[in-house]
Amino acid sequence: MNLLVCFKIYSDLTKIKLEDLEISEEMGVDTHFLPNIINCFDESSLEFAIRLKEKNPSIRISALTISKKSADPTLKSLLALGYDEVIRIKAEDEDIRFNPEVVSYNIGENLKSKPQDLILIGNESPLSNNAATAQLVSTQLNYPLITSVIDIKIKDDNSIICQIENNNAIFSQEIKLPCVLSMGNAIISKLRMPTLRERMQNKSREIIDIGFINSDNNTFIQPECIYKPDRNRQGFIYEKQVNEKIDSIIEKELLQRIKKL
Amino acid sequence: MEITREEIVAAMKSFVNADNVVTDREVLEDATHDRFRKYEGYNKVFTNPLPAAVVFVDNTEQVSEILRYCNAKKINVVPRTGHSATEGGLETIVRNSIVLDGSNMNKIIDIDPINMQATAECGVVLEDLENACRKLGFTTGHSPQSKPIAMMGGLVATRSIGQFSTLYGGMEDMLAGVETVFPDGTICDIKAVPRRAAGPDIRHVVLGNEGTTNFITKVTVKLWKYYPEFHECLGFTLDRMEDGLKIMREVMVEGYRPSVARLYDAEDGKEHFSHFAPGKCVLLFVTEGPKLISHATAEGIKEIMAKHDECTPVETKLIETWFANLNWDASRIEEERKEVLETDIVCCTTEISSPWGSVEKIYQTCLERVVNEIPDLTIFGAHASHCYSNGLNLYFVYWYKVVDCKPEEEITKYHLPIKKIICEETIKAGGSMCHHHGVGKHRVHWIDQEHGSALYMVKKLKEAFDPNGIMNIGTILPYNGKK
Repeated sequence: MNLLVCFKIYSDLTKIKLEDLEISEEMGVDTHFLPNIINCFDESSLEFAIRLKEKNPSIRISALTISKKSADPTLKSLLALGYDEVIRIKAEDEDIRFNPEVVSYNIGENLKSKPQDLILIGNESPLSNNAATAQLVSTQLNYPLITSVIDIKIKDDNSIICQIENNNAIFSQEIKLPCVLSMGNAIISKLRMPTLRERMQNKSREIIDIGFINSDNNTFIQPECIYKPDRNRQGFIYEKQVNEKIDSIIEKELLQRIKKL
Repeated sequence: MEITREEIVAAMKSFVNADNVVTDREVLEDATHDRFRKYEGYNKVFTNPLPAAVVFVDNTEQVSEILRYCNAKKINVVPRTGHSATEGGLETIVRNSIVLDGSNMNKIIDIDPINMQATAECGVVLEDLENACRKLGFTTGHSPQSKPIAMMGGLVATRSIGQFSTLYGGMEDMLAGVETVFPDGTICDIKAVPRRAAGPDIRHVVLGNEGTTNFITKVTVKLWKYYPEFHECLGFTLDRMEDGLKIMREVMVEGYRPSVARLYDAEDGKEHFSHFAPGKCVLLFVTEGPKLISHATAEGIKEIMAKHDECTPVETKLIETWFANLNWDASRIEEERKEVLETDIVCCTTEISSPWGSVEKIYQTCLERVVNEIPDLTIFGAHASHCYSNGLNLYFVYWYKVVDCKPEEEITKYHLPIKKIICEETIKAGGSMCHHHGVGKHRVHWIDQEHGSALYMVKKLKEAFDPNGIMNIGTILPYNGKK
């Protein structure tokens, strides 16, 4: 079985200082000085793949990202963790934030020469979220798509069993391969770290670099401008003894304020 | 006959409000350890005996009464404030201890802009004191990574140090006066004065005592004017740690005093700087103070750096952003807990100090031995973060994956063997095994080698101020009795 995890690396916005949160000319926040992190939904997928391989050593696991050279340390870590193949579609200056079609096109083109049985893609991303990549990859490959997957088990060479979270309920579903899984709030969230020994053993293994393919096929709505919302949030501490009815507190402290807005 | 837990709890309730004597199992379990046994704690495994109670005191008199009682009844007392210790100093290793917690004593008593001193009770969080001082345009100059959680009593008791130490010094340079209570109930208030030569400097009986001879109740620290607008930040990448260490020495010996002087090796830096310096060492400086001094210091360092072709300057914003995210607060500890439980990968540290002449040897030997002798490491690196005219510290940072062992075996399989290598190699090379985290209960194995002939003085201090041996048994000096 061939398993591919498509993952996204982006700047960790939780590390930005308030005074640096300025909109740049490129309709975004300048983040070049921030460290990189893996999209949390994709991080789950990357760990899932390793665990599935541990239980089923015949699975060949690959990871693919569209990223800059600065993502190299993360990609090398994946090689050390036992990924059979780590592919980077080189995109140094391309702006793919609002273009899931070109992202899925690049993924699909790569899969033409390397067909996969199981493709894991995060449901969404905290930054430049289109929540469409998995759907578009599924359409392009004509593979079935299962969304909001939180757990995966291999049944046999041709099928898997997924846990799916939907409307606060969890379903179990058997799926024939090949398929695309869009990963939601998975039961595991952290990617492990390779040991020094694993890093040394895999030191000479290379990341596979391939070229980015530009495409005009973009029907998604493109933003015209970006602005910082003025939310005017306010917090207060209710210092009185809480022996009043909660309704009266809500009326006095909350509803009357809302009316004033 | 040994006093029972119930009798201890009843006695404590006679000294403080009954609500301040906590015996809930979860609280007692949490009180058996500090961050040294965090892996056990996260896995809800508790190997030390439960204390009889955690007792929250509201004032110095209560501390005095409780200590007098415990001294008479020979009950082990573990003093505590912010609970952020890392070396096991807060572990309750004997049955029916009490954990005496000063975190309720959290009043800022005075910020004195004339005499440039701030006085706070032991349970004031350093960040709260610092913020209050900054509102008035002052700083304590103290900024350990634990600033959001560490409290003034514990910071003095462990002889702590902060990220700006190269300019402001460690707690020993900051402490002006201190009030403390001894096991016989005696309250001593060491007055805050600029300097004095009235016999031995008795502040040092209190500083770094780690709760083994007295309980600190009130702290007075020096203040400085705060000029954040004049901070200047310099960052460089380089290939070799050895080159960085030589440059740090050059900066210090030439007479410059940046507030921050830090050097990360490539391994330790991997977690911090891989987005701009993968595989590189990173050297950085921050200068501060009045405009002319801060700028002149930065210019002087730049002049030195210009001579070193092996260093490449980096954009200062990269360093500033990293530095703004360095501190640990409660939410980060919670993040760590989740991550450790999911991955079984633990990060621990050991910090040492070294004269300039030995530091390269200590670094290289520890690196070689730990990497070769310890299994399942994911990272072993080091940084230097506190510089002096005669040497610096090395802060070894190591991550390992806990494999094939129970949570309670983790420290003996990984953490202690690594610490053993670092402490022994450091002492052998002429350094000190503890730079700023204290001895706690897990570096006592090497305390005789650390002090040599001066151990006599450490033992005499303990005997003199704690003759019944009731203060934080097993900390600084080993305990060989019944647990």
